[in-house]
Amino acid sequence: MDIYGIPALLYYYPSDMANYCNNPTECPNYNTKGLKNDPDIAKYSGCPTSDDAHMQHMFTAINEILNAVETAGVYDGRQSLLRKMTFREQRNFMQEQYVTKANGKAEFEMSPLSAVTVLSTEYLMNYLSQYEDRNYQIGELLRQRDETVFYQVNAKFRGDPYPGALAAIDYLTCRDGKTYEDRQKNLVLVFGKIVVDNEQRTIKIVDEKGSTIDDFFKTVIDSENHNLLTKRYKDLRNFEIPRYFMQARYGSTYSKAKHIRVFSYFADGVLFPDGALWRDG
Amino acid sequence: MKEEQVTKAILEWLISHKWKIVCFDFPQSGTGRILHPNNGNYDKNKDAIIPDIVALKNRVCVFFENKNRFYRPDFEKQNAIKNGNEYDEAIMNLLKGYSVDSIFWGIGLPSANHKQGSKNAAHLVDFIICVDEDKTIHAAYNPLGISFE
Repeated sequence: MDIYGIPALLYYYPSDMANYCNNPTECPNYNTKGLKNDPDIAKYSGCPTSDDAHMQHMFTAINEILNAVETAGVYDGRQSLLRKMTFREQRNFMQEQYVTKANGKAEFEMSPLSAVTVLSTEYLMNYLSQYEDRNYQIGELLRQRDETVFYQVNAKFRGDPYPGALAAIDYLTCRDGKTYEDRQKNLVLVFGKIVVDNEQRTIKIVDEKGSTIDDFFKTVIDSENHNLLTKRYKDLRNFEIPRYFMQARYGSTYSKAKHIRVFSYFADGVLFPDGALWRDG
Repeated sequence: MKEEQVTKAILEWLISHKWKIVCFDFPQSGTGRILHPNNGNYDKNKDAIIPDIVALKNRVCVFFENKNRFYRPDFEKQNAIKNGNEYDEAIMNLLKGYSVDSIFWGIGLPSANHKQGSKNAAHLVDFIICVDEDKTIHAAYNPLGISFE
């Protein structure tokens, strides 16, 4: 919210949590995991009950958004929202909840920042020097930032929850502007275990969970099934033409798997025990 | 038609015919009830199943597996649960408090996708309920004469 000036709000799903957190098996909605769903399953299957105070507050906020957009248009309407009490109240509530649940813990002691190591960029460049040779030197983009945030994901390559966590880490520790280029620190995603070598001022990446760059490449290759740009016009079916036209404009952006897109957008580098990808220039 | 639409249409149809919905699930709903195999590890979901609809009426219980297309593994899964007892503990627990004489296992899918494949696999299940584009529902396969309506 501080960067974009646009509210980003979370609302609790209605549940028996408040009154039954110490004796969950006795909660009235035990059959639905303690969640309060709308009783009209035919009309609102899978929806929360609308009677709940949090849901009522959310509907109020949605109505405010609609009013603001109808009055002032999308951009100006959106920019006006943080002045409204409905949004300020929810933002204050979220901050109170954060403090309560942190229970004295510092930010870096909680997920996802507990998986982060911040080092001088010198460590990153020394690690990546293995990919430099007489004909190729890594450019200035990474070097121009003094520090690098390493997000350690000691797991096999996959998406959820890591793309969301990567984006959160960007906003929490690296970003000071509206685009991913507005960063004070580099953001590097590591699939593997980071071992810091302070003597050599570099890092090692150890495979403990089967992390391999081949999984990243396989996912990208598999996405290429959706790439129409290699087809000739006579091979396109009519319903594929608009998609071809879009891909001619944007390339393969919208045909890649979501987690590949998110990692590639947010990370300045992605490191594996057996390979690396990085931004240059 | 998405799986969610198939499930919601069948839910509405069952409710309109006075079935009691025990539980239901569709992608991203978060409402599904996980059934673990007997002696399963309840901390992990390996081999666990989540029925798409479980409904009750007149001491008859129906378990649905729904899809937006024919998918033979669903038919085989329903057949395995019907004929085996691997999930009996979880099923008994789910239906605790309800009076049930018989349980039937079947499939829900769009009418447009009930073709030769699902007709050939029909013998694996107790019923096939089809959903038309305009959400009208009919029992395409119901050899046991389950009284849905």
